[in-house]
Amino acid sequence: MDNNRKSLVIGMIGLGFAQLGTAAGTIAGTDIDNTAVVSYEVVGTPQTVTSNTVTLTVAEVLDVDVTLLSGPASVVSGSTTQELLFVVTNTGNGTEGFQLAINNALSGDDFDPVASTPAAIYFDTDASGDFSAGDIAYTPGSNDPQLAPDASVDVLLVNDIPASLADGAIGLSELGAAALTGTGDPGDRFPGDGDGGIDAVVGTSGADDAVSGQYLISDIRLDVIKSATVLDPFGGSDPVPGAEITYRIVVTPTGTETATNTVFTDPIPANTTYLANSITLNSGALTDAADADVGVYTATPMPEISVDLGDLIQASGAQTIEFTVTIN
Amino acid sequence: MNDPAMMSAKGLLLTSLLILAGNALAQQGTIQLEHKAEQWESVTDAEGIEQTRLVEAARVLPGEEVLFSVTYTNVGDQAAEDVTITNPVPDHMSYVDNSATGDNTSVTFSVDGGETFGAAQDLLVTDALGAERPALAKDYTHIRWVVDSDVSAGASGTVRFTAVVE
Repeated sequence: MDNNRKSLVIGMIGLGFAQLGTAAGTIAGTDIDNTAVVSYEVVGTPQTVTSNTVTLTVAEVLDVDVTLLSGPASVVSGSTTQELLFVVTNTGNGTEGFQLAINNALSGDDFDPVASTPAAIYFDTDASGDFSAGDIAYTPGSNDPQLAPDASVDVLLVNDIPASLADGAIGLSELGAAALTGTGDPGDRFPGDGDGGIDAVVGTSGADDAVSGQYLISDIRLDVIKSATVLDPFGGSDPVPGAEITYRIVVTPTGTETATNTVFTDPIPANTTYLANSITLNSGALTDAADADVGVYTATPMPEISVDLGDLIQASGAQTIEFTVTIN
Repeated sequence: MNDPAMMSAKGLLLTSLLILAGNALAQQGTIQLEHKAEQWESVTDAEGIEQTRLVEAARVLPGEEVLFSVTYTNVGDQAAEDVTITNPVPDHMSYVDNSATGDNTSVTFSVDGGETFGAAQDLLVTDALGAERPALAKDYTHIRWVVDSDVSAGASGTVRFTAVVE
């Protein structure tokens, strides 16, 4: 090709580059325009003509993904309001509402968890990952989550556990999410029902998804809650170099059986230094050496503290461990 | 030819040639373009045999391919030289490798918004770190077809390419 021909083309249409799309592709409702240009010469006179513009509109793909975030939940027979954490993600390319549903009548388990009342589906409103007072209950048709493309919402299933189950028994509970526009086989079309009146088309997920989580009966369960308190060199609570962080770990046994040979181990956080002889168990001081008392600090290979709690039953009550580090 | 718009265009063109004041009126086009976007659709006939056919595209989905075709027709009464058709790869779409076709044409591509064109194997793009690498089909911003010979009065041809919705 010679350069003269290149220079003849003067009408360039459709410049610019595609804006970022979503994981599912171009946003629903986007118009894609295209116009061609022809240049030529007639008797030495250069001329340019543009074509008609063809316009394509990107339809809405209905897709959703449900993923379980929590591992098997260790629960005690007869306990109530035990939660499983899921995340529901709009994997389509348009804004869509989703209906949520719980299903406990699943095969392949030993018992059926019982949906808690008054509600069994909650949004993890406070983002704690746990079922807590600030979480808002889900009511179908009332507060169905509306999700933009790629947006997600954390959802908790809250169940009660039947009494008198054997140790090791497993119960499954499933969260389902379905596009409000409609579900079906991939490729099924809902003309005019998509964003802004465009067509909506069922994507590879079938526009619905469901996944189950597991409750595991353990006749003894240990709940561990860790908190930290900072004391800086100036009497305040700023985590500055030289400030001391005191960690408090509370281990609470629940159930009818015994947790034998329970050892609590905690690595010393990076960029901190363990404060010698600062381990306490239920307010009683422990030495760092591996000796008669149950507390040990080991510097290598990784600095960590451990406390041998021995055999724990529910009647042992909460065990409170504290230790202190200094910020480097 | 039943299209009244096209008939009046022809009429204007004839007039312009008569009065030898061709330039302004020639803007109407000695060459006309017809641009189409189509998709392959699979249909099963009465005998249960699956066949594919092209249907006009209007609603598309991410991942779907669209066949763009541009038909050029010399509606004047003189040959057109150096006929060059340029088509941008639309926003939100990527060119499908080796899909540009056109009888009796030479095809080149641009990766810089139509500033320069070159053969596919000669194109380079600069990545975010400033390094150059060979261009991929998805880097193309424009496609150009140069018709290898003059397009005589009444002659026509079609060039095509396929792009996929991102």
